[in-house]
Amino acid sequence: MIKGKVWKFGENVDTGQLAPPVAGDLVDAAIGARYCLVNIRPEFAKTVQRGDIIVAGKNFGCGSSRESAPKNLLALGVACVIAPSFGRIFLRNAINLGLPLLECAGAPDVIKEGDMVEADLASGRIADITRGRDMRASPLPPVLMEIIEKGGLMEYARAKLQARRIKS
Amino acid sequence: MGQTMAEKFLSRKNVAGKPVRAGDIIDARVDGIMLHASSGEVDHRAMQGGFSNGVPRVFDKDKVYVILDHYQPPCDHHYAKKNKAGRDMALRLGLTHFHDAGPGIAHQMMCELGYVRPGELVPGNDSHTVLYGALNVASSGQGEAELVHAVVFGEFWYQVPPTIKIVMDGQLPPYPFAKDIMLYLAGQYGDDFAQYRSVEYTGPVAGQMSIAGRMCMSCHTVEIGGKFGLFRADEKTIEFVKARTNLPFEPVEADPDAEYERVIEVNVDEIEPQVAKPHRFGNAVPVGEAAGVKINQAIIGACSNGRFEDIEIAHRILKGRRVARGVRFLISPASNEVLKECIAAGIIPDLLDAGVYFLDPGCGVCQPNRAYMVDGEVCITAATRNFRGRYGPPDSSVYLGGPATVAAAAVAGEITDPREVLRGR
Repeated sequence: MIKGKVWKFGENVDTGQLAPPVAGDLVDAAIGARYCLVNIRPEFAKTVQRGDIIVAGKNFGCGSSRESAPKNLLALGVACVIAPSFGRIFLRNAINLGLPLLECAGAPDVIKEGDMVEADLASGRIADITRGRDMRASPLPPVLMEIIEKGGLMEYARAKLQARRIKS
Repeated sequence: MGQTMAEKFLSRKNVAGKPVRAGDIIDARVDGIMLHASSGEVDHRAMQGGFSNGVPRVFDKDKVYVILDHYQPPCDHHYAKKNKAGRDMALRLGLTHFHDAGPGIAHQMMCELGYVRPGELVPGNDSHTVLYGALNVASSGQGEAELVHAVVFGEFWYQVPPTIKIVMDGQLPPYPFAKDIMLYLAGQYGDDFAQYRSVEYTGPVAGQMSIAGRMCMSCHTVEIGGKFGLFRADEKTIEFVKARTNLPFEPVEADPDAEYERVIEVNVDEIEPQVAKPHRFGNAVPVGEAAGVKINQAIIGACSNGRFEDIEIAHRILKGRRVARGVRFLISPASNEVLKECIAAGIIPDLLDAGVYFLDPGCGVCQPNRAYMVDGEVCITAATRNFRGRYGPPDSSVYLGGPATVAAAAVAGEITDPREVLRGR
């Protein structure tokens, strides 16, 4: 169960905002993370608390395949992102790196900045505690749940390698 | 019930050997993997995942293509180190196809060097990998962690996407127009109308369109959220591919009774040249609505529009004219092959005389380590994206347009209708 305070963002938050090219992806994750969303909310990276939740409009994470986009959110301690839809490469990258995402069409209308929200990945239940409202996210495909359960894609790949007796 | 192209591709590549339908989740056997400038990241992810020596094995040395494109030549020490990481991995794994300082854009080179062939399934570590759909290849961009898995096993999981069919009617104008069609579609239907979907580009205009134009449309499929952006393989495709490889291939056709989630019909005769205003691809309007916006920088290049026809139109517009005072006009061909076409056609001297800054082939005008701006400046570009801060600071503005629109703006010093500038040319 994830429980945290909400940061609200609009539609089409792109990978250039999550991992700005000016910051580059050449530096370590902690440095890159300082620039996360800096162009649209300069205070975000400085004040976000470990365990906070992002609720955003549709098409969150559209754009590049750069993994630094979900990696920056993870480095800042963001616990999960709730949005009506995600850029498809971002969605895969986030799950692979261990950042949970929940697809929920109604979330941006109900949930407001600063609300306390509870989210259960397995059931997809989202509760806005501040407003006393319940929502349900679309379930993740089973293969993604399996990757999450194994602890990320690298763990999943290592298990598969061992199963096939290939030496790493 | 028949199958869409995506269903056919993924049925053919399904490890389980069974036909698939939209919605199925399968492991698919890949025919190739494109790794570009961030190849070293793939090794790095493997190390973070506990493989102490990096990627432990490669499923087929002939099928993993490493092309170090984004940071050539490296403009600082960090980029040089990044290139070295990719170089080290390619050499350690003994890959057959490794291009160090090509130069050129990986996607263009994958097509030109015959590394992708109709009917194949090819993921890559760049969002514009979807470009190979122009050659009837099911390709899409992925992150590095996933590609570790693909490089080791030659397999990759896919959810079979539903398909949107775009039927294009009408007659293409006598200048490159693929970008305008994609901007129009995004403007009409939204930046994400093809999210998680496969797109099939069909109709008479798909046939009229050059391979370069198709590459532009397939490339921009990611800007509308798409997973694959597919054209059928016609005579033009077969001729292009056969000139570049002797390896056999088998194109994929959609069945006539395939089931589409959505069919969108457009008549290109009714589409005006488009520009996307800052900071979204889908923020597109007919060029007239942005006319008069003063520009500081104009760019033709990138995997979207760095091919010969895109540079030739700039020549047609600029010959005997000058780039407007105060405007930097950068042109970067997509590859050495494109550069050689420009040299053979004799168009470069006129462009230089007009005041164009003609750059080497590569990703630098989009990436954007060759094209930084300052706050308050405005760029019109035929490159891929206009996200906030794409060319540096957040208060610089980027407009997207086709190469004719970009060249016309470079001459006028402001956004203007390219049809007026092209009159009589």
